Amino acid sequence: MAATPEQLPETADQYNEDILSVLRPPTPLYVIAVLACAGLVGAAFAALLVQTYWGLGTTGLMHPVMWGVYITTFVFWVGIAHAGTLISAILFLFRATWRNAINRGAEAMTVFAVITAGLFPLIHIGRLWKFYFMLPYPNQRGLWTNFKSPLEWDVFAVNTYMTISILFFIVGLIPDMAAARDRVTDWRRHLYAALALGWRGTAEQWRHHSRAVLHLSGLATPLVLSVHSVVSWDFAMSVVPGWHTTIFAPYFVAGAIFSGMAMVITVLVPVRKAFHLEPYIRDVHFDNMGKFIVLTSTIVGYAYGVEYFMAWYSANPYEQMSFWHRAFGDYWWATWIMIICNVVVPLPLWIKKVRLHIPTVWVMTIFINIGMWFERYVIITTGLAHDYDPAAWGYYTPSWVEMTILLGSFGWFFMLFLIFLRMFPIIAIQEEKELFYHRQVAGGTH
Amino acid sequence: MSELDRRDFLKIVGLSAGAAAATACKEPVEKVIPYLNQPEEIVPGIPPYYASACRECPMTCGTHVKTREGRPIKVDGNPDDPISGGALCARGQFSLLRTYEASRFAGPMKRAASGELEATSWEDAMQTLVAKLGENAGKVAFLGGLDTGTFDEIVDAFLAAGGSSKRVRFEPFAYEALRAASRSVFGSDELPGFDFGASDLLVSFGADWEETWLSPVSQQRGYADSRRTGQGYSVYIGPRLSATASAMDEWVAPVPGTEILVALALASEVARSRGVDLGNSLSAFSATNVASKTGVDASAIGKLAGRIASAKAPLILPPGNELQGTNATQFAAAVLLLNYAAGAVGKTVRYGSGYRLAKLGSFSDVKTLAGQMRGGDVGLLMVHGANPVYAAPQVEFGDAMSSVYTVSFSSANDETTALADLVLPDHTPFEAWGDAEPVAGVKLVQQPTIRPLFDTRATGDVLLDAARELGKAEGLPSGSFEAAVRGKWGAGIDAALQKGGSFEPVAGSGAALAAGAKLDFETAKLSGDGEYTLLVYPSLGFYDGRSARFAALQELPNPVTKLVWGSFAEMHPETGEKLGLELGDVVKLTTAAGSVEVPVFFHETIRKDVVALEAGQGHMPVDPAAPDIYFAPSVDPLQRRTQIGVNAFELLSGAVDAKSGGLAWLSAKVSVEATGEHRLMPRTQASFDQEGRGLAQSVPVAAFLATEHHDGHGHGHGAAHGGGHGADHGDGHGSVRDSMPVYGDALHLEVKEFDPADDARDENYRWGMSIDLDACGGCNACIAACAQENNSRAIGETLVRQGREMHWLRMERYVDHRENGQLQVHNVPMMCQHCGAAPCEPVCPVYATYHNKEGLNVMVPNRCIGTRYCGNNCPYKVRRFNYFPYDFWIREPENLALNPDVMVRSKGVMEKCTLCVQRINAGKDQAVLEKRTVRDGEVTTACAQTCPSQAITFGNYKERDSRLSEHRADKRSYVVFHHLNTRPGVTYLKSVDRAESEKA
Repeated sequence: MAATPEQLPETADQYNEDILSVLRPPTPLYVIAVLACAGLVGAAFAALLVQTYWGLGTTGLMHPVMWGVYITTFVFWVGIAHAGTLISAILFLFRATWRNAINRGAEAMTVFAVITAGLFPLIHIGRLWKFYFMLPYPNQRGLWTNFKSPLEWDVFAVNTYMTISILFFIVGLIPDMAAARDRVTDWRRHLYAALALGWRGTAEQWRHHSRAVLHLSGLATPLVLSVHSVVSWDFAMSVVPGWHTTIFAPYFVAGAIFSGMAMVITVLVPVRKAFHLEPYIRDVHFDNMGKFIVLTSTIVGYAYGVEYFMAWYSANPYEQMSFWHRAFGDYWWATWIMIICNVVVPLPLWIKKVRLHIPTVWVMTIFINIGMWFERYVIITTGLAHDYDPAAWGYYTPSWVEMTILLGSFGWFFMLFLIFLRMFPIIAIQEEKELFYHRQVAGGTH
Repeated sequence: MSELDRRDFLKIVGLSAGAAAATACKEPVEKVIPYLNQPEEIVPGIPPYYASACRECPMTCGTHVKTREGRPIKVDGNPDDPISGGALCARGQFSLLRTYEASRFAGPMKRAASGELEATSWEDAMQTLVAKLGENAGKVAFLGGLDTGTFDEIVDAFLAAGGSSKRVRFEPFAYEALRAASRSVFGSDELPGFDFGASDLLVSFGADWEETWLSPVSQQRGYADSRRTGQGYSVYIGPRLSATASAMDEWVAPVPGTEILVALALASEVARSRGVDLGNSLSAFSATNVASKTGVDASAIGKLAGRIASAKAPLILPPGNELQGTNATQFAAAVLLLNYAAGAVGKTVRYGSGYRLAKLGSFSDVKTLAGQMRGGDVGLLMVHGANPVYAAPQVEFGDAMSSVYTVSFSSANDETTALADLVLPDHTPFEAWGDAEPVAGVKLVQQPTIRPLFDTRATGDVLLDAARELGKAEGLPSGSFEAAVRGKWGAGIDAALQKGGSFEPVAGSGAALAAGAKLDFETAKLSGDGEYTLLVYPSLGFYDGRSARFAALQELPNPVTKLVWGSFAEMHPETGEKLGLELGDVVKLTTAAGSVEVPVFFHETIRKDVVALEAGQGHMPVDPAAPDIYFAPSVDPLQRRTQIGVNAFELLSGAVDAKSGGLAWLSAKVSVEATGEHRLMPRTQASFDQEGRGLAQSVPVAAFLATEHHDGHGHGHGAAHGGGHGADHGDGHGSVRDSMPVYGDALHLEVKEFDPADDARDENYRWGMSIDLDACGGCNACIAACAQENNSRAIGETLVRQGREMHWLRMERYVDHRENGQLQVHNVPMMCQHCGAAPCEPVCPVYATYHNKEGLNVMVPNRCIGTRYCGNNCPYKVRRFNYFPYDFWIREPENLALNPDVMVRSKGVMEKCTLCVQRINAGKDQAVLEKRTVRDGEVTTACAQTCPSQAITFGNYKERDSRLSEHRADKRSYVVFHHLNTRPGVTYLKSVDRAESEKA
């Protein structure tokens, strides 16, 4: 293990001191960053107003490519939302202790990403103001929703995931909220007191808390697999060549973890630097996350290969032509961005030295984020642009409205994350402390 | 401080509630008033039909006008009328637009001192007219179109009473050469009638008989009828495989200008083999002699001559407008001789039954008139139904108009009217009385179906009043124009109004060669020093340009290029390659007469040395002042404010065919020069190669005839691919498949047989449609009928370029390559297939689209939230999304044309073909009243109703002896993308490939 005890805090109180240091008044740079993100959100909101007023004609969507940047971005953010649950729930169940330093950040990312993702189906539909038609509730119009539709499955999958991730996040926060409550004196005290739910740190409370976390982990674990499987069925359940394949569920889940891990690194590297969290977020974390990235990148690369192989092997000319167009047609550039970013760029991560060279890893993860966005873009647009009827082929180019809303989604995500950074402990204090005591019991010198 | 007591409190509450309610009343109150004294013939919701006549082209089809609550909303053909036969063309379907046009003249206009046309009163306008008529007595000229019937007589009488006889009947499509040739060959001034229905071999020398030539509707019907059982053969001779050519079996493309030699060689060969004396020696034009000049193999000419000689009733069509050159009369004469040699005269070419065009003037007459105007022989020009400033730019008619006082009777502004001094707007045909006799014995009466929308007056009445005012009314009827029309029909008027007229067409007869007619023949002269030949072709959508002002027709795709909203230089891909051009590059086309700049479009169905340009575009902006309250980002709805395309006539030097005075359309060489500019093209079809996917299938005629009398059962679609060979030829040039490692065949994917009747829970009905690709010629009438019936919107060039056109039905054109190198062009109407297992249905989260119990794939726009998944999942890509609030773009009085039985869709919802569910429901209502089920043929869709070749059949699969079920059982039947197992309710019938047997 790369974890060297010398770097670790000397006392348990030091954890509180270090981690809760983020609660100190913000620096101007932080304020500027939040405002910049808010600006992007504002621009996106203005674009959404334009779109809602005039109609979806303000986007680049057309016949036959009726889905574009919005669905791409929806799938992208749902994908990002996966790493958090993976790290928190699955690694928790597997007792992978290295997760403790990063799980809070990853969970927060999950919550914000899924909140971001959830906006996109609404932005995407033609009549935003009728979104509630998708909710099954008794109504006097005698209308019901169509449970055969993968989009309806999405409504449930995403909402379930959002509910569980938020619960998981809030429950995990309780002891730390109590710690924060005891530290601050200003208005935040009330917030933390509310979120601490009367935490006193009694043995009984600890017992309940750890049970709750365990059970929620159990609940969340299947969701990691199901949410993105369901999202992938938005495509796989259709007849569109390039969409209609059985590999989509595992392929999308692997892709989601891939992009989620990449986003965790993208976010944590600057946070670690800014808040001097090097003693907590250590090389071991990057090493392990790098391994995850290599693994999922390989799965994703294999999936790409299988798609092409199956298109060829099926002797189905529609599939063949769809994939030919994907690689060499109008959208070749997007396809090659995807392949290079997702398969070629992560290759050096097989080498441990590279995995431990944080700046390199950080740059790579940005490429991976781009590549994973393009993966969804490629699947959606190339499939639709060249499907069955040659007369109806077309080429889709996103409009400024879509690009503004796409950028706005990043603004929204990072704005929430930045606010989170200053309001809540980025590292789960109680879990770190638990490890600290474990180490002491195990015969540590400190 | 006083307490607020209960009374005050209630007062304040009441007041503020009242104020709040008052401010909420922003919308003007619209009163819905029921009929108190209901007119006997009007039952709200039940449309009365009136018989009338279509005036969109001079050939005048009989119509049935559907009205709702006093306004016409749809026009169908009159089945009693032998010309329309119950069908209409695309222009006829959109003829209502002329009435409901927002930019019509609201009343008379007079040129003011400022030089602008300004509104005036009818009193003032009439006084001005009378004064000007008085000043110019004897110097009055009347320039009109082809008018027949009462109006024609009144104009003649009016001019005669005023002591003037200068009348020019000007039509850009005047068939001058054919009339002149008829005179020289057979000694007749009339056009012969061409009986398509009776012919078993049709040869067309560039006559676009399906698009504009003479009467496309009746010709298409006759052609389709003559081929129903796989019979017939047809050859198109011309430089471009046009829409008309795509309906024919073989395409022969001689060197442009030398087509006459092919006609002469054929005449010579046929005369020799049939032993007919043509009175002229054509031996110089043997097949071998003309082969090198025309570029057509002697053997090909010989084979065609053999076909003609052995046909029972061949019909060879004289040159159409696009091949009308400086030798047009000789060319037409050669074709008439060929008909004579083939024994067609008297069989399929019959004198006495043709269109009555004898009085029609020629292009040269307009030239003469302009000369008279400049010379002072004419002082007052009256223009009615003609637009010479646009259609004859070489004459510089506008310049000539500056020396006379011009009165225009146009109901909307055009190039000629814009230069007129006085505008006395006529009613549109839907507001006016009239009659016509386009063919001997076929008399049509036209009755108004709506009160005039604007302050307009019938030109007949204006002339009558003016003559009376001047005291020069001798020979003119005494009452109103309406009374004159009624008077002409006498006691028979009521019967005529019910039936639409009287229909007693004459059969016509043969003709003998005029004695001593010695003819000489030469090829067309092409002037200019360009490398390519300019082919200007008449427009399916705009006719001679008169319909180009309508957004709906601008958005009707060109039947060949599938482009909309503009002019495009069409050339062969290899020509483009040679010139280093890419699709959408703007080129400068220069002829001796002028130059224009247009984007290029490549299509392999044109000769490599020809550049084609559609006529009819390039008008002045229809409505420069159109309000832009409908402005949406980067969208200019319907482009009323700018000029669309270029006027192809401006590239013609004005050279005429000396013998007939007709404009030589095929007379210019053109040079092509890149400008460096590039434009995105408003395309409605991406690929013309069906990539072997079997959208359009055909069966070789030999195979078809061999099994003709066999039992039609067990029509295994998968197994019948001996017959599906047409699609096997997707190995053509430019195919994506060429450049990629594809193996496997779309047509050999596994399929499941199914019976569409199983896809409906209703015990009586499973609605569906069949489309006979052998009959379909791709004339677009169905698209127009669909748009008019279902309130589909034209949305403008920008949006079409973005791929958002709203037609529920599209006409796909596919080019296959036969093994012998010939091109085979298919037209496939593609609309919602009403699948039994529709991919669109399960994916909708809100049941906005679902399968009803009668087998229809129903779309409920009001339930739709616009996820567009259905559109993605439709393999036929026939669902259309409302990207903008198109309903807000409808301007008054365009809204009056909306069909109240079909909802107007707003932004954010999906729409698609409903199989005219409103018509089905009306039919079912009637059937329920009569306690029966709907009979076969009782209900039909708008597209099927108007199809001139009756290629579309609507019906009920559950009725086992319906025509639809018969078609389904036909061995030619197939469904598109069968292997997807969508169980479509639309059955296609394979076209019969008659040219395939030629490969041996």
